[in-house]
Amino acid sequence: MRMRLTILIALTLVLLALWGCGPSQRADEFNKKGQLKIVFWHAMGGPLGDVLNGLIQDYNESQDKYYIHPEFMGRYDILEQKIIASVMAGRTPDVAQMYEGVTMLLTRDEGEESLQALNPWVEKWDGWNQIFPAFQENSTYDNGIIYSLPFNKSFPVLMSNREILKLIGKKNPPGNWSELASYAKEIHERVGYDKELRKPVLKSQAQNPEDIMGYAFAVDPWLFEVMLLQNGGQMANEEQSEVYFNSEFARESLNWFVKGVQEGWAYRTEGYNHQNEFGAQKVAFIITSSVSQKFMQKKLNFDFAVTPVPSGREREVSIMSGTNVAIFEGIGEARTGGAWDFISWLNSPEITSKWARNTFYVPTRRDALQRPEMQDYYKNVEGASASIDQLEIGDMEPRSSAWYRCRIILRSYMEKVISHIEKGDDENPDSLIKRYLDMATKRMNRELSKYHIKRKSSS
Amino acid sequence: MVKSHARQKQFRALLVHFFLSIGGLLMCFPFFWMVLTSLKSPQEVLQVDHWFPHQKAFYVSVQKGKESVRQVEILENLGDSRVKVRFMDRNVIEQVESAGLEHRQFLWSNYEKAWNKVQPSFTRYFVNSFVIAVVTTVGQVTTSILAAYAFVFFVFPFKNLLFTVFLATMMIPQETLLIPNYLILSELGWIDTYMALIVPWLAGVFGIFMLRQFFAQIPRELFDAAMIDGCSKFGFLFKILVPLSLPPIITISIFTFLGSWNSLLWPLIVTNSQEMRTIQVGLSYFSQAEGTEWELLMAASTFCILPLIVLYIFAQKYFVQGEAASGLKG
Amino acid sequence: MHDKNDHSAYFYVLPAGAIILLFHVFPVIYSFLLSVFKGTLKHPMREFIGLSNYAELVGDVSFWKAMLNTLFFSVGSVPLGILIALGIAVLLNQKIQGLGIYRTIYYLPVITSIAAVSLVWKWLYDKKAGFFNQVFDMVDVAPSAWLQESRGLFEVVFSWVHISLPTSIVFFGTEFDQVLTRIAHGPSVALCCIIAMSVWKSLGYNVVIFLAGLQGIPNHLYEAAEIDGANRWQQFKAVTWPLLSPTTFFIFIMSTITSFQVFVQVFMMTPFGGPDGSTSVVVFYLYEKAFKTFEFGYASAMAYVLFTIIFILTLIQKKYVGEKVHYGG
Repeated sequence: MRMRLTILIALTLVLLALWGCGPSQRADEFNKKGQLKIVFWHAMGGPLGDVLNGLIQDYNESQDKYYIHPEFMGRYDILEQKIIASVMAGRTPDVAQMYEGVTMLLTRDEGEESLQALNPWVEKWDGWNQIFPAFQENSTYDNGIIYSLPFNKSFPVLMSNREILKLIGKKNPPGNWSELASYAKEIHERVGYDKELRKPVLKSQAQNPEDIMGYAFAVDPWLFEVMLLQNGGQMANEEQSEVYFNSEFARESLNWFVKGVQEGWAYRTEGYNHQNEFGAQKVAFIITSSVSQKFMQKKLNFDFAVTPVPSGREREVSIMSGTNVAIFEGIGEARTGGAWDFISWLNSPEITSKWARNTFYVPTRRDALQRPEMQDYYKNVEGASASIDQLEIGDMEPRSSAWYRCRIILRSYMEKVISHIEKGDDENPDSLIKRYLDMATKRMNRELSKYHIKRKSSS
Repeated sequence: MVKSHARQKQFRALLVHFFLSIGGLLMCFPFFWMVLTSLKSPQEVLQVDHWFPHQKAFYVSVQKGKESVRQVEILENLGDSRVKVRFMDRNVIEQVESAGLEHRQFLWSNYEKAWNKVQPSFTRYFVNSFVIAVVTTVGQVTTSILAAYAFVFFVFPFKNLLFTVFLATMMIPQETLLIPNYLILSELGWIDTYMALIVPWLAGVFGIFMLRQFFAQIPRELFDAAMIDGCSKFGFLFKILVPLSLPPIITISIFTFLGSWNSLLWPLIVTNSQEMRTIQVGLSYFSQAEGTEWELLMAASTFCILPLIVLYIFAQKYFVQGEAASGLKG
Repeated sequence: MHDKNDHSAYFYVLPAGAIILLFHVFPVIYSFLLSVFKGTLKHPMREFIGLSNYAELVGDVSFWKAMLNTLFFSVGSVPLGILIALGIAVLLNQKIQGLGIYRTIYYLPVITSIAAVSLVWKWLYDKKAGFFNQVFDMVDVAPSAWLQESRGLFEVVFSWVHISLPTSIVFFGTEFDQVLTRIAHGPSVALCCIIAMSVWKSLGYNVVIFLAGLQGIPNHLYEAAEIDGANRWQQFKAVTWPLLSPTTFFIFIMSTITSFQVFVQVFMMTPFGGPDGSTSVVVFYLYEKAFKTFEFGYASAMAYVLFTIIFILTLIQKKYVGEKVHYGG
């Protein structure tokens, strides 16, 4: 009898416990100094993480209302996954770094938005008008709702080995894609690497030099898209329900890489290897995000130049990369205030300038460019101006919540094309490119049709 | 005749030992390589033809309160206790105090480095794995004992139906349960808490099945005698049956502990924050975030594997016995 | 006294029963429901869409590639694992000294964490400084890209005899040609690397089961065969193999079921699905669809297809082998 009673009580307790459960955000927490804890999820590691942590420490010490608790998630895709999982679990961070596609995903279901509209805060803020138009647009969604502020933005830059350029008698890095191709080809033919002297030399003047390549790249849609836009094409239609990666502009852009591999002066690498090869002086040119310089700095012990991404035929345009910061729903008034305080602080002239100068990301607002330390940086640090100069011509990738998957599809088909060329297939490269880009576009459109932008005005 | 037969036997035995030894070496080699790598410097790891760590020169200094150990190539002794060295990680040449130079062969510091490379540190991950495994094991064993007892010693309506349903769940792969369980846990608000990691595994049909088999072999007279003596049903279970059933209980405990300790997919999905990670999840994040520091990754793999190897060596009998007899995977 | 219905039994069964019903039985139904509905991030079951997820699965090239990769993995790892395990078990059964030590050594990989061990193998396979390429270098063979090599096994083997298979087969004129190409080229070298590692890991497990089975064969049968003039190989064929066949079949089905569920090795060694998606097996693809892009309905459909396959296999096993489970000392 006693046994049954015990069990009954235990059961009731369990049921009560379960009843009390349910997804809920965490409660407000304060540290010993009375500051309110604001949880910030990000994917900035290595030297970038060090700079960010330094900034966060500055912020925490500069005022006594809030303190930021950063959590490093390792990589962007892991960060994204965890953000979405946390939304589903009902327990989110307060602020997080995220790409536009994620922002889209979290706000596309009407009535179930997981991010806060920042318009009321932005209206009272004098900084918004200083934010570069490209970034303003990047953070503004349907019906003018602003869901984020810019955070770490970058542009593609061309890194050139000046010593090698000198060897072929060129003073300046190539300015457009055809110049890049012809320089790269010439370098591959005429310049080699002397293992004993540990530097590049003219093949004619060396004994047994190793090959030096002209251009190394990791297969990535970014540059392909930049070229596409520059040549006059478009990536997607306005509703972003359809992409145009099978257009003649797209084929022309992919063909640039294909020709390079075919003619032997360009080659593909895995991951960040192209940066390592550049550092080892085995390749003359690479195009990477401006922020890569931060990682490569210590390894470049030769004369190098950093210039904006080569220009194309029709338009002066580039595509920004990097993420924004957004604030989550349901975290309460106090923490929302803290989160806004932090992200607007990150976008203050002094801090965005400090961030840019220490990481090679670009400052997010115009008045930051006027600051003396920024002017000094712009003029005197190699690689500073290369990305900053692209601020006014920046465009963005499609923002559909399916874009992440589309990008993966595009990348895998680009890889297939390059693989075929590398293997030395008989098939005509033009038909190869057409076939795979057609397939890629079809699949991307299928993904998009599942998740294209929902206009809030319709239902 | 007898002699040559004996010699033939000896030769055969030798041959058997030969093949088994080669196989055994192949089995153990990856572990050997793992430990070797974990004791090398970052530069040595990438050097080919250097399988066994050899004596290397290091410059040891304290930076920001932490010891920094960097491999160097000694170029020139400049006298006045200063030496010109090349730092191999950045490929720069500097002059340093010769007092800071040390010669080491095995870099045990890699272990400490790997331990603290993750946030908060592997200590937390070990604590998590341990707590989860222990509670899960205790829970599963308890619920299994109770349920098996009922199935064997009680008569009640729907007994067979219930047992069949339990049995049927053994045929359901974990993957089918992943998504719905994830959603259920989301609803309960248990994601990223110990509840999600433990509660779904507090019961398991493997244990119930095994104990039922064992209990069924207990002579009925024992039970009847106890009842006549006025023993309660629970008393019989607790005081008599359980002590008799230690062998299967230990086997179930080991398999449950092992399964919990080594599981990756489930903890990966139901945890988000760093504090809730288990060893396996932590290791997977570690490898994805710091993909190329192999000496640290191998050190981490070593200390992740070690606890179970120790447990295995001591409780070997139960591992092998239980698995062979049951023929069921834990 | 014990023949009367005793309802207090329910209290004993309740703890286990509640957990099992809630987390192991109910989800099976829930999973199916998820696969026939479509919804939002927070409410996955909004709109009934019937079997359209399943229809989409049929037309999904990535799904078929994943199934093919899983099939390759299974066919590659199961027979090989069984043969080697049987061989080892036979050797171990030869009444030699040190049986315990050998068994310990062979069983060691089984109990170690598969995540950690996958990392170790990933390192062995490393292109630049991994052990295998170092050995290749020593014997003047060109290094292989191992886990990054998308070329198929057949493709590579044919190339050794200077036959080059067509790089891509165009048959349907659609993406499904990729599946045909992969069938012709065979499992990628990357997938073979994972197969090798998996065989290594689970060898000891099968060895132990085989050993128990071998030890259950009465000695007098061998003696009788020997008297009849059978040599060792004939004894194996006449006595060992037939009497071992229930065990063998049991291991075969179990290994097959497990091989269909492979995930951790793939996730640790090729976190992005391998070169050309050639190591993306069904559970990996499921994981990506469910927990990377949060397409729960679609992933649930996939989980259900997998469930059906495994359920059938398990039924076969249970029916044929029956309840050959006994706890022995």
